[in-house]
Amino acid sequence: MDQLGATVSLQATLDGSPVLELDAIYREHSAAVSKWVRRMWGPGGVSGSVDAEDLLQEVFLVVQRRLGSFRSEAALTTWLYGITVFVVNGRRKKERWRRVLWRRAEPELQLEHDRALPAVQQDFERAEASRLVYSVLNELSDRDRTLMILFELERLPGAEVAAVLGISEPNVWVGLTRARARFKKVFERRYGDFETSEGADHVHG
Amino acid sequence: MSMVEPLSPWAEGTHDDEPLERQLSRLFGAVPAPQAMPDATRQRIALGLRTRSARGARLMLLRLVAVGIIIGVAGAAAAQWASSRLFGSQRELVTARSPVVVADPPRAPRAQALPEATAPAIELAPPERVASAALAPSPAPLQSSRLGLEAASLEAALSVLRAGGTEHAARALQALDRHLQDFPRGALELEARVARVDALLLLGRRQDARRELSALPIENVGRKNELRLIRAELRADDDCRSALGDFQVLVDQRLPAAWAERALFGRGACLLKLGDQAGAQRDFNRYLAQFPSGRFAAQIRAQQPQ
Repeated sequence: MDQLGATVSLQATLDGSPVLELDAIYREHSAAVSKWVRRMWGPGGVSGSVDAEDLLQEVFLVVQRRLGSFRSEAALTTWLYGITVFVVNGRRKKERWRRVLWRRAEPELQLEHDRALPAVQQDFERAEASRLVYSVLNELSDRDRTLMILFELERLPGAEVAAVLGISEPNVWVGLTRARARFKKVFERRYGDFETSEGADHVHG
Repeated sequence: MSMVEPLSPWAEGTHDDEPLERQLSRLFGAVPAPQAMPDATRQRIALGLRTRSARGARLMLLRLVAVGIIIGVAGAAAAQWASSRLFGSQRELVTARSPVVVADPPRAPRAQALPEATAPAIELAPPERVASAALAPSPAPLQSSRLGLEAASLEAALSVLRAGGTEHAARALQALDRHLQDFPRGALELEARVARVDALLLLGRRQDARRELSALPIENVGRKNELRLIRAELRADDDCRSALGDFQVLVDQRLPAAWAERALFGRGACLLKLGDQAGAQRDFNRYLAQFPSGRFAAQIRAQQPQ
């Protein structure tokens, strides 16, 4: 994964006091946030009306609203990650309700368009792995799903997962253990035995 | 320049000794890392962000204004409704028990325009009572809010008015004027202005009362039929044409007998003044049929052609 954050100037001066500027934050972090959004959302599992661009914009609208409440003792990237998780999970909830209200069937997972994931297009196995993992993740609760994505996919340390989610580190470990067990259960229901399954093995052919 | 602490990647040792974790590691490790959006896309989003945030700020402001207006209107309406229920019901109740006759009854519409022989010397019925003057003491209002203070101020003025008499009416009028200055556009403004009409009538200031009444949206007041009747009787002094409109509305409604009697007689008197002798005669005949021993019956009979 990419190293998150950077030593960048995100501050302007207002009456001698440093203030964070949305433009600067966007300039420095929008690329990273766009990756997080894609990671959190996954390659599909939503209606076609939602795309990563919408979500990225929504994340920064929230950033703009909350800039005043940002406490500088927290890492900006952690704060941004937290907002991304909040926005993506909020949108997932809305989409779920929309599906219930409009009696929409769960859409088939679809990979994002070529421009978004060119590497995936070129590598069927990796695309298949993505489809497989997210098909199981999307059946988990938002909490389990988020924990698994942050820890297993983004490979954030437990302390940083705790900071992003606003929970204690021990809670992260407890939650992660349960989330893994649930992931396995769902995986086995869909694809057979997890530890020996072809479902897991076939990813690497 | 600030240092932004980077999030470091997971590097807390391997867990591959556990079968579950090993499998998870294999599975998740095969998932490709997402790529960042191209610069052009992010620039387009940045542009949209500026537009949306500006629009969002305007929308937020509009929402706040709209919510404020709705809350204000609803609050005022609720307060008005509550006050009209409170004061109105007390008025009705006590008026029925202890009527107070207005000191200076309205004059009859002048009949000099009519032929001597047919112009009856009929006087318009005076308003039976000044409703506010008959108000019973109401419970002490809460004074912890602006509305409570406003209600307390109005109650003080009304209590003076209730005492009746010219002297008290003058003091009540002063108190009501002060109240209206202290609480301009207050929730109980209508009630205060209605009480002011009552005070003016008690003082015999018919023109002032008429002006005040003409400016009142009486449709929004609990005593609208009573006020319409008073307004019609005041207008009948010199403007029977506009008074007729009010009398007409009242005659067509189901009213308490005392009001129905005044409205019917008032319409007949105005029709007579306007030269519609046949119409006036019909109303007077109807009056005698409905109220044979009514307060104006003797006057009408005295004017009837022998």
